[in-house]
Amino acid sequence: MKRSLLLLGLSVGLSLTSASAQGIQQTKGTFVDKFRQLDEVLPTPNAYRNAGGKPGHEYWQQQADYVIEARLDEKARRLSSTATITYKNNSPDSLEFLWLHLDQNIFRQDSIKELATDFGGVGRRGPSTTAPSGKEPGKVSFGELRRHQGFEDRYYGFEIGGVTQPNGEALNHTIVGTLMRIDLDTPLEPSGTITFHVGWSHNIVEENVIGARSGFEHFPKDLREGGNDIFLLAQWFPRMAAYSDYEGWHNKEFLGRGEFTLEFGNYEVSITVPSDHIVASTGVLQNPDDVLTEIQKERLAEAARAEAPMFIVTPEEALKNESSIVDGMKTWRFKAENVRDFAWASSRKFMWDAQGYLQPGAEVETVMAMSFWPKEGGELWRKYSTASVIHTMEVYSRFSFDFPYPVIQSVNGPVGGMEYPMITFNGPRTKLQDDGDRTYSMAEKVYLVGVVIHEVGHNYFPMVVNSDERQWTWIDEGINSFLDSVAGYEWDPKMPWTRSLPRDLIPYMISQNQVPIMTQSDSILQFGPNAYGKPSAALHLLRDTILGRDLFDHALKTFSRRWKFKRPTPADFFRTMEEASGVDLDWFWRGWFYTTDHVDISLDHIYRLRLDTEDPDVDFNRLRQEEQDKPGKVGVKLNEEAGVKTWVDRHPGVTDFYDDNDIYTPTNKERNEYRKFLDKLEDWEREVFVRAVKEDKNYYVLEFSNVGGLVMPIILKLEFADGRTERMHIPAEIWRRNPHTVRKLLILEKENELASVVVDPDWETADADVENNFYPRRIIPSRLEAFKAKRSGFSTRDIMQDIKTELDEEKDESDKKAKEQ
Amino acid sequence: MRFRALVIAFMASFVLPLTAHEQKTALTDIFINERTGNLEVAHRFIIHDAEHSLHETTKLENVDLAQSTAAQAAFAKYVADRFNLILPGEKELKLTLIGQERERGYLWVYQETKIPVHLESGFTIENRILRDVVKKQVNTVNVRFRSEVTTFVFKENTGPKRYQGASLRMPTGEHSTLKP
Repeated sequence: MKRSLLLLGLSVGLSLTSASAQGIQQTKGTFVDKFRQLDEVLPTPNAYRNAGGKPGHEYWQQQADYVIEARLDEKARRLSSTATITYKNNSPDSLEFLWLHLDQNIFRQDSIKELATDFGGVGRRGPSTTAPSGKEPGKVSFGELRRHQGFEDRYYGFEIGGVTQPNGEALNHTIVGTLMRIDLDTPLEPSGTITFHVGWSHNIVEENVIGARSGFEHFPKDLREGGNDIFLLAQWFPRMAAYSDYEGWHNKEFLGRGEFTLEFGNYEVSITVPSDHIVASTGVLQNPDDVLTEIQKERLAEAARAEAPMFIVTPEEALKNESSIVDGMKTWRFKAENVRDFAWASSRKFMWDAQGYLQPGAEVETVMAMSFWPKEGGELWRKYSTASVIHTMEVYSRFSFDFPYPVIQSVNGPVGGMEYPMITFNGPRTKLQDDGDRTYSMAEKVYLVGVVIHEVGHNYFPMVVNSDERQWTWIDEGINSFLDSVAGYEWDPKMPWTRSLPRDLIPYMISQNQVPIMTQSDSILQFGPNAYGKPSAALHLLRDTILGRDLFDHALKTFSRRWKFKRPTPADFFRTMEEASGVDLDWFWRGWFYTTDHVDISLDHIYRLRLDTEDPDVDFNRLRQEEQDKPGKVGVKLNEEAGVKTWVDRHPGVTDFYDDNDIYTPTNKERNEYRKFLDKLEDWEREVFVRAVKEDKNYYVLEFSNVGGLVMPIILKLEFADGRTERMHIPAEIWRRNPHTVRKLLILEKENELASVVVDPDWETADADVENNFYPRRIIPSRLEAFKAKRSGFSTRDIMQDIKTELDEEKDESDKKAKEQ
Repeated sequence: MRFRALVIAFMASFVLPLTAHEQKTALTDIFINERTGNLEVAHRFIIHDAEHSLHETTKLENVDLAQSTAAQAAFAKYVADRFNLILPGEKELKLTLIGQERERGYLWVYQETKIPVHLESGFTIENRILRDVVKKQVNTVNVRFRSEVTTFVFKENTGPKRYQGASLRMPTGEHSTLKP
């Protein structure tokens, strides 16, 4: 008792901070309730989202439909468009104004993002700068100067031509940074619909110069006079901001990091581009007769049933297109239903392949998986892009739902990796060597497969399961990073993935400057590990260690299906995972998502116990044996070695009773007591006692302490004296009454004598300190020590190079002999 | 107004695109290993990021870090050039480059030196790895002494940071030290 008071005394401060944050304080003693239920932290369930994490019986969401006409001026790299937007108010509220996102305004020089850029600071996508310090001059890169010159030479951001009602009357609108407010003459009542027109133009940014999620890339070395461009158009039109039951208008300024959420709706988009361009777009092409050749249409039809990707535009045709000079324009018409955004790409450089992915019985039975890339993508794209798209659907659909759209595409351009409905932009390329070959490294290949899986995966989360990334980046990025690693290992576990497994997150989780996962996107420190890595590691742990695959997969699938084409929040995720698995996970969400604790469980002691039989004929023998097993007294041993004769040796004739009976000799006195003891027992007690004595099992008490603070199941590998091993799983709930130290009694069969015990033998819980996982302790070499030890070994052999070595010619016999002598 | 020098730096114009996939960070673990008496430095990089940076900074032809040991060695040298520990009095704590190895998609680079005699007076860490070539590169450095972790984050404009030294008091919050 005393001990636990002492131990707990250390964490008073901790318990106060964590408890007071919830408005509830533990003010007596030092207990920390790591299993405290989350209901007081989560939002109150209501008619729109219920207590089980499901859309409520009055769930609603808005609808925004768009008809857009866009015209690309290739030479001026400018887009001019008009849109008719129809907005349906399904909410119970009347709306006196509407908000739209104007994301291109982030490139205006007066945007909050540009004005709030710290010179040489972080937080901006763009070339690097260094602030002056001490003796060092400030540094500005050519890239940064080019970026500024780019802003001086051209105006970026939307130039809004006007917002009008169908009757031609202007609607009052106010631009607020990357947002636009449209004031309504009369409020839009529940169930009401409003239609209005917007006209606008904008100059397209050069992605490599400005740093963006879209833009053009120029290829000056192409044979065509003036070179070629690839255009990636995203976040390119005024988009209705989301209006939800939990946040009202989602009108938070776009600062470049937290991505977005929008409303679902139907799109009809006409895109007019130079007539030799190939367009890849969200949606299904409506007028193939106008824009494709007969042979391209035939190939597309064939590709729908092909076993492998088929070219629609071959590399040879694309190469020819690259040098094409035409004056005419063509209009590509696309239709997309129930999408939350719309993006497209256009270039004469594209080759194009496609393969139908079949989902028998699904709403959409054939999904066209397609890729578009320039010659710079090379074999890497031909072999792996469309294949990765299909692999993604195979894996993700198993965890969620059938792919709901008829098309899904991967397009190569200047953007490293970005997702939009039915279309993703992916950056990896080949490198042109001096000999004319295009090659790529193994890491570039891993990157291509990985990034395509990740961006196509985003078509499930958040393009269909519509969470808000500007608010909680982790919910789609975490689930998606988890699933992309599952898909990666199902692709080829031997490839050098750097996926977010628990073991990868240890350095982050012990670091001091971190915030809980449940932090708004703009305020996150260490963004990648916080919003991608840690939630992914947590989900791996939940699936493979805590819930098991059956329960986890069922729960994740339930979440995905409940929120397909709807708008979940973290609370809906936490609640659904618990409701569907039937397992209380509040401690897990609390520890991993609401705190910055890390995992470090230490196995401090093991005590071995043996049940006394109370029978003096047995117990006294054991005691005698115990005494004999102790090491002999040193003085006596030295005397023997020196040949000292004892008195007893010198008087062999003098003996008595005690020479034949030592202190452990049982007498009838004890035997009678033993009988009395047995007689006094109740029948059932005697039965239990006799059986336990007969079985004579091994009793061990294992004592653990929780150094890291995060409660976890304790996974044990028991190693027995005869070399056998056994795995054991102690649920995390063992920590519920004392999160600092716990003891576990193991009752093992007589033949199972413990030799050693290891905590978390397979490194699945992100346990930060391996050394205290071993009992008895082992010396664990540090990473560097281990490296030094094996450096002389095999790991650093460059077999690829060494295999080219020619075998030296055998020296003649006399030489050899001379050497041997 | 005081004029301060501004120079055009030959900072490579390459910027690794930052996008919807995970932004990469490099991690350095400085472990004060009392058992061996060494101060160990282990840097962890994502191979793909490192490859692009290596190409930009060295113009090496073969930068296949997953497979080429020559490329790995060149990258290790690049790292060693850009990471310094400085003792009070501007004395550099010379680190020996021990080597590098690949582990799955990571490349590790190792450096080592003897633990400074006056560890309690700390040292200054300078970390300029990848920051000129990778957009929004974030280098996290954990200094580990017994169970104490001190974290430093180096971003594009972060100057040297000072590690205050290992305090020899017992770390708080470690229950095992109070075991009867």
